[in-house]
Amino acid sequence: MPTADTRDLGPWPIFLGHARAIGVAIAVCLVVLVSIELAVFRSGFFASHVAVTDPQWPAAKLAIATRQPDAQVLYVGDSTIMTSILPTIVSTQCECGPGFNGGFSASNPWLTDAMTRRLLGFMHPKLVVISVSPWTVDGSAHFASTELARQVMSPAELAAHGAPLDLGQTVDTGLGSVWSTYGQRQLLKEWLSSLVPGQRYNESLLGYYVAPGSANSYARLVATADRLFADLGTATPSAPGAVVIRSLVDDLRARGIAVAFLIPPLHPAAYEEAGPYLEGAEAAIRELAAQRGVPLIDCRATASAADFRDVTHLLEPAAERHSACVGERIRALAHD
Amino acid sequence: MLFNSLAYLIFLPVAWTIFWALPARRRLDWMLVSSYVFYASWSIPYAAMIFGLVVANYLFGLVLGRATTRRRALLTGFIAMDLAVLGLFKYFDFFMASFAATANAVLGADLHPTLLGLILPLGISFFTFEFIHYLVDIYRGDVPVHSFTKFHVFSAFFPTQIAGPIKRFQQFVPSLESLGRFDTDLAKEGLWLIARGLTKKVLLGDRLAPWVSDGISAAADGAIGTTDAWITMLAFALQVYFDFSGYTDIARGSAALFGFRIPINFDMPYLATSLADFWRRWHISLSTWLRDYIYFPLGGSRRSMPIVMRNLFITFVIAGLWHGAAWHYAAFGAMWGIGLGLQQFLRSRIALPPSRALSVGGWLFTMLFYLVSLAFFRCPDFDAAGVMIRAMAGQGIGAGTLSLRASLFVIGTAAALLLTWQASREGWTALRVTMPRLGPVAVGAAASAVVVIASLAAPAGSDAFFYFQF
Repeated sequence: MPTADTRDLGPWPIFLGHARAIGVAIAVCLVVLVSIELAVFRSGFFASHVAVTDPQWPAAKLAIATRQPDAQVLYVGDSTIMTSILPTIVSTQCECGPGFNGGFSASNPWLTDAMTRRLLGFMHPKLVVISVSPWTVDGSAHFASTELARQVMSPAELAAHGAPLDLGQTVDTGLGSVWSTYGQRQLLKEWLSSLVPGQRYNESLLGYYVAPGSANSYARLVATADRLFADLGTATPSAPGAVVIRSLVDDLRARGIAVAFLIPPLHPAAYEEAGPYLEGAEAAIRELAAQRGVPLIDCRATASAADFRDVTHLLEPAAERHSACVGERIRALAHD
Repeated sequence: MLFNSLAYLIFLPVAWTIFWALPARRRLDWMLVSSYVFYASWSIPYAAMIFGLVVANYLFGLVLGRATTRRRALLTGFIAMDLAVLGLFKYFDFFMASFAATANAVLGADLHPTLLGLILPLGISFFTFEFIHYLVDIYRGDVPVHSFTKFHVFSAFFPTQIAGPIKRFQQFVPSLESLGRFDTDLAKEGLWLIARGLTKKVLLGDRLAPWVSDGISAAADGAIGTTDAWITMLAFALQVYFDFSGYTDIARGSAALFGFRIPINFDMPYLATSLADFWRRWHISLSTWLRDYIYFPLGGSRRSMPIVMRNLFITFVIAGLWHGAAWHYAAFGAMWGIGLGLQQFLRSRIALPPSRALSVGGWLFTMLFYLVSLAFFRCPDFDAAGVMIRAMAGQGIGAGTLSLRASLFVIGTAAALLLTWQASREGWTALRVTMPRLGPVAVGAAASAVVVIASLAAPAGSDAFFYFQF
């Protein structure tokens, strides 16, 4: 029976009794962890070998982009460009060199701007095609600090947008920068998933991706269109998002990079549900392009209602036609 | 503070180290401090409100314990006060909006009530049910807890604060006497439970969540295929089990590290062979609470069959509404109330001898009933639930909401879970693994593997536990 005094000591006598073994175990643990950090991450091994199953999110897109430093044409924007541009087909048509599709799901002007700047850190394109979707010119849109934003923006960039990291996020980011297994856990999980046969993303598609399945029953199209165009303000070329794109255009040109805008195709159901807004948005996009003298690429006519996976994304055969059209327009622009 | 967050990973060892470093007489005080730090990390004003509720219910208990007359009136008044707080935060807007909508539709009125829009305090439903249990049991003859600190720890105990299990003070408070002794076996069990809970939550529950969301969104948009509907509901059944039982494991494991034993909340629920059996295995602390404080006071099953069926119906509608202030939750409860009532009725009329075929048939029926009822539970409204149930009945529209990979993962996980439970129930010794005794180098290597796996398994954003919303 323990005495009252020893009972009050809690677990410490157990630890003290095994102090040497605990010390050895901790030392071994630290050696293994430091070895993983140095050998897998700091050596660049992980960055050069990481594969993904799903390139729809920014960190995955950046990971596969690092293996395409020679891309001459860069496509950026949201999932509308990710699902409608096959860089290989565009390159064949335009004879403008290899391309890379840097679009990702749920991007917005702020994220597109940040992603483009990250890509330009290791790519040297001659042309950047920016997808300007109707939401870009929404007067009521504003920057939001989201998980996606934290993937493509540094803490300083977030703070500059008025969304500094809170204490928890700061600790999280700090730990992630010291211990990469934690900091890059999402990519690691993607890499592990990609080891399953048939799951690895085919990187020869150069960033193009359309999710499997379809959601194009009429009820779903109408409901999705309703949701997508709810709570929008007025479309204007001076919308906060448009200002960000304008500044991106100026910066790209200052670096000697040509810029073009792409108007993405949308399912006719979108025009049925939000016709007036979309008309206003198109006028605003054209005005935005005119203000900066940016050429507009509009290949929407290549897609009909049956070509859509859902309201905003093309199925692959239509994406091929759309890409061919975009390639021809780029070639025409080059000759102009 | 989420159990699967970095904050908790820091909080728990710090709280644990200080707890055991303090002399035994100070450990309860530290547990209180830890519990309020845990709650206040979400909201300081609501932590203050919880403190007020604890003080009030402590005094209610003392008054009720000493009262010799008008005890029933006192009990009713005290419970009404607790329910008023719960009602204000959780149900006021719901009932006002429902009343206005009904009046507008039926009487042609034009009511637009001002809604409060209050944020629901985390764990308020669990706090309230523990307070009611405490007061009713004192009314029934138990002795109130005279130590405010002990009552306070019982009420605010951080491992069970947010989503239970709903504790009973008769079991919990006596355990506060034995905090002077560190129980190594209990601590080991605690670490195992935490690891198991995190695995369930992060590797399984969170993995299933996006597929469930895709299926529910499709139903909410008005179209989902038949196979997708069944897979979605099966995925949700697995998600809610892994999420909630994972949470419970972490809660019980955290409590065990501090020397507390918290009762189980799940007992292989998806092996239930009847509707009643399901509720003996699912969220046990809630179902026993409902039995003891609603079903029995209504008369339980010792009355005529129509009254028993009524009692079951009322009890389960309340259970449904406890989960959320929305009519689809009430419909979920009503469906179970009717199902259990009919089962009770049939059992009183037809006596079948136990057999394996009956068990298999009962299991199949129970699981089908459960999956269909989940459509009411998970879908955001009746329209979506209707689309989902019609699709489950073969009237699905379209396909491709869930990929083949997702469907195979869901079916494979369900099969693996059922096989594991069956093996555990039948004691398949061939599957038992005996852990060898490891030397310090092997322990260090194993610890580094745990760190790597834990780092990988950490959530990217705020993957909250599903039951936190209740």
